[in-house]
Amino acid sequence: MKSKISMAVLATVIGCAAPQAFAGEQGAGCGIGKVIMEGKSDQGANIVASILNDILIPRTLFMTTASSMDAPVLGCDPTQTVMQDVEKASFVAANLDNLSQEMAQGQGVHLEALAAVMGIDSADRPAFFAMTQQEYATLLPAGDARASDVLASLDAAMLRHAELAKYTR
Amino acid sequence: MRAYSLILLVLTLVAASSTRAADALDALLAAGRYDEAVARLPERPDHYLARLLAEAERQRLWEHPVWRRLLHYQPTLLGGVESQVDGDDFFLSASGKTDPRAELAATLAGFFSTAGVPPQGHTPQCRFRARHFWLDTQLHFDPRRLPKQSCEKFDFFIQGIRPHGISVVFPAEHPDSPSSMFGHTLLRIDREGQTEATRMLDYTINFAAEAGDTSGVAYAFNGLSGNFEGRFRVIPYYMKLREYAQMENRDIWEYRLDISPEQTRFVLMHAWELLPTYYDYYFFTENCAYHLLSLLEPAMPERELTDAFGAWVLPVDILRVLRDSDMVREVRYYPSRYRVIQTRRGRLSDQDNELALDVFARGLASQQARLDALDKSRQADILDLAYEYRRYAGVASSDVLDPSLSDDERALLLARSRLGIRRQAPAVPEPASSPDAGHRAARLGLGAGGDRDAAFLQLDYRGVYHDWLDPLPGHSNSYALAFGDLALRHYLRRAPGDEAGRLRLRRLHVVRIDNMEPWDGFFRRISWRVVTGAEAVTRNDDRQAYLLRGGPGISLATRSRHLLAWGLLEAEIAAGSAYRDALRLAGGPAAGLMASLGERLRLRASARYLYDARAAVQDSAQLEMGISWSAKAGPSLRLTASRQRLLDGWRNSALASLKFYF
Repeated sequence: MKSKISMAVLATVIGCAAPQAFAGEQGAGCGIGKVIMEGKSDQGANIVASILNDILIPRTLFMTTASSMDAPVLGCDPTQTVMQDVEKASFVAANLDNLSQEMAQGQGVHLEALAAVMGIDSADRPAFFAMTQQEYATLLPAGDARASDVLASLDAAMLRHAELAKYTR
Repeated sequence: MRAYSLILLVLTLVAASSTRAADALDALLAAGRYDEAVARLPERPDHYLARLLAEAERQRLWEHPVWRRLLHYQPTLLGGVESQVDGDDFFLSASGKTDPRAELAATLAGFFSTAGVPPQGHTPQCRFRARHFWLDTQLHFDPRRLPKQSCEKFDFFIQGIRPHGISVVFPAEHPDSPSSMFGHTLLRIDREGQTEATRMLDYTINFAAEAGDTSGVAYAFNGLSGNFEGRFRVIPYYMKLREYAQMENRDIWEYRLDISPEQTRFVLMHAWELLPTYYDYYFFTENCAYHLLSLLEPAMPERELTDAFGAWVLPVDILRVLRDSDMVREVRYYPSRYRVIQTRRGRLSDQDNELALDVFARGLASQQARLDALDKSRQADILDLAYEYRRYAGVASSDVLDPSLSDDERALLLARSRLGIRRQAPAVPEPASSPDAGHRAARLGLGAGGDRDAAFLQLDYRGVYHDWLDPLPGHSNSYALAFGDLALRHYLRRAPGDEAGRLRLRRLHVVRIDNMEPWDGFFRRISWRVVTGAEAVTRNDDRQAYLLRGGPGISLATRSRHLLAWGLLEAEIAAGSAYRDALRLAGGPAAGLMASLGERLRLRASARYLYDARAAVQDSAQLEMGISWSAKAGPSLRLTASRQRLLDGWRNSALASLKFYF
């Protein structure tokens, strides 16, 4: 508690750098995994970040995936964090908690964003949202589902659905 | 015959030497030695580069505001200019950091090169897209003589971002974290046809210090002295929403700018140029807010955005500059999870709220029977709130917003999905005032006051930021923060026996932070406050001591937050010649009450008693009441009355002052 206060006192000087101050972010490169974990410093976060890096295309790793907190951020290519070809997978991987919540609720902004990324017409979105709620147990069989599995399950569920089948490959 | 062969020989020699000159020039360009290539141009007056440079000279392009802004040149004290960019890779000329003309020449030379330069190995044309684009509009490059290179990585970058417009994103402070009080600013590049849901898919450009693992004093020192590198990062907005709204529980304000797609594209080209390089990061001046504006400026050179700032740049002031320049088209609000929870709670009965807390604390299984007794709609509300509690608590305990769910969380959501209830999430009411609508950070006060025997005029000045009786709009009513708070008194009439001079120091606080975030059944917040600085310790304000005082406590508030009550235990350590052994150690209780009535009226009552550890005669106490009546962003009229036990006895005094904010 005391150190938190003294940090807060010192950090009030900082203004906009404050989040980074407490985060002390490092590690797991500046691939999408690191980007997902932006703002966190926990060792556990580094491990999850490494896992996320593995889910997506390996070329997102531009430096060695160091699990040590001392890995420098410098040396990775900052222009390569725009990856529209993996947009769907990175969005799902990063927002699994929000998407899970909104699928259970059958509505929500993250779910709408997912529908947009999947190219679903506004007219078909209500059916899509209702389906995610109905099929929740199969879409998210476990709390730590992988993005690729969730997307595959979504595809399979949409195939069984008259209006949504046209969006599957 | 001999004359003929002689002429042939001469012609061959001339041709050979000019080819060698051309080879030498091209070799220099390929080697990245642009200054030398420019220096050797007189040997090749027919080279297209010579033509371009001559035209650039004629137009004096290096003096053009766009060139100045693209290179971030600022005037120096010695009459020259220096670029604020600190990475060497940003300059193609060896003297580029201080010589706009040399940099312009080297840049034009570089456009002819097909060799990559560090750090990413792009050719100059592909690295410096904004420079190329702008110089092309000024000099009209002939594509046959200066071929346009294909820049795949840049094309991929810009196609992914799809620039159409720009919003300035401002994560506001969260009272629980005073360090966030100054806020933060970043840019979001909006795509065409962006909707409320799809905006999270857009990309943001964020400028921050790369601080690594440094923390504490080292962090503060490095940040103040420019020892950190400040870099831009391009990150999807949904990452930032997770970080600010869901992890740090900060409300987010989005200010959509009045900027054309062409200007947006130019800003993005410039961002591309800056991404691999860095600025030395200075917390007060060249911080995230400043460089956000410096990124926008090349696209709108006629608007002198960064010139508006003097000693320091506060993120919230960026918003004011943009508003004042008529650049803000629309403002949107994105509530934090903290606010979402408050809203959901407000809509449930006490009974349902209690059940939601029990589901959170004791697990779904144990509460299933109680839930089954309710209709599905109520069950849905309760489960939704319980899930929000879980996610909030998960972050609070681990500082990580893990996308994967725990078994408990999954069970909650599974049960929720089985209810089959689908409806919109409750709308979180937008605060009456946006952060930029509040009073300005610096404050000047003029007042008069006195006690039974003496009368004085008071002048006070505060550097930043917000106080209990300052106008409330744009701020939370559970914190106060001050850096540099000076109060001077000029005594007009002195008490009998008072021999000291007329000008006295009432206080000089270096830093003062009060955090009175209320405690409730779920948010178990500890309140605290801390202050360090000099204060007068006698009845006539003629003797001062330097102190450090503070401590923890609890505060409670009504649901609307209009009324807040707090209790603390404080300790103080002070040094001053007025004390025995020039030292004082004391501790004791403090309590207070805060009320906000509408936007204009604030009331505060506080009491404190500090028991001296060694000599009861050095005990101190203060009972104070204050009321302020303000215009929305100031000025405000403040009346305070206090009864204090000071080193030489009790004093009842009152003060009326007018505060101005600037």
